[in-house]
Amino acid sequence: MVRVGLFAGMAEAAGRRGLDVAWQGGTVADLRAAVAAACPAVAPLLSRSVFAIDGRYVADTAGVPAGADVAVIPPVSGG
Amino acid sequence: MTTVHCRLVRDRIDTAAVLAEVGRETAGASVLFVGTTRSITGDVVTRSLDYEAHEPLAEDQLAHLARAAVQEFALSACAVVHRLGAVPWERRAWRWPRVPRIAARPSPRPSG
Repeated sequence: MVRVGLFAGMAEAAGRRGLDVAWQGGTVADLRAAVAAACPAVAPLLSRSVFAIDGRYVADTAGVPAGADVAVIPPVSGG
Repeated sequence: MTTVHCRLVRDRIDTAAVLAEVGRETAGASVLFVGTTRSITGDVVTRSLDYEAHEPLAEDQLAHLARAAVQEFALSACAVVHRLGAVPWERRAWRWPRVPRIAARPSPRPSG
């Protein structure tokens, strides 16, 4: 199991601030797919979001250990 | 010594306090950049921006950016303060620092 924290537009789309995703291990790309399957409402934003594990931004190829503190940060705009 | 101050706040940013944090005897100027909620963007009206953050990650990234700026531009100090929560458009969304109206010329220190 991995606890995935959702923020801003992601949390609004999901209607909650976190998801528990069944997890047997894999990469961030695998987790991205698992989150989309667990909560289809966030799928459109998910492909443009970045993942952070234990307080660090990570690439899609990074491994995600079970029990990791995962945060999904959606795109922001400003200016 | 170069210092970096970074923090997240939930109230109006006290810009005078931020400027005081970066003032140095070795610096000839302090530059202040203040972001505001832009109310009018073409035909779109924005009443408020709501800032939310993964706070430990945000603080870490702000510090990273500040350290990079210090290194790239040889700054003597850098402070980055970001507000969280609802930030409506306001004529004065921050506390404007008191700025001297007359530039002073340096007075030489007495020698010896």
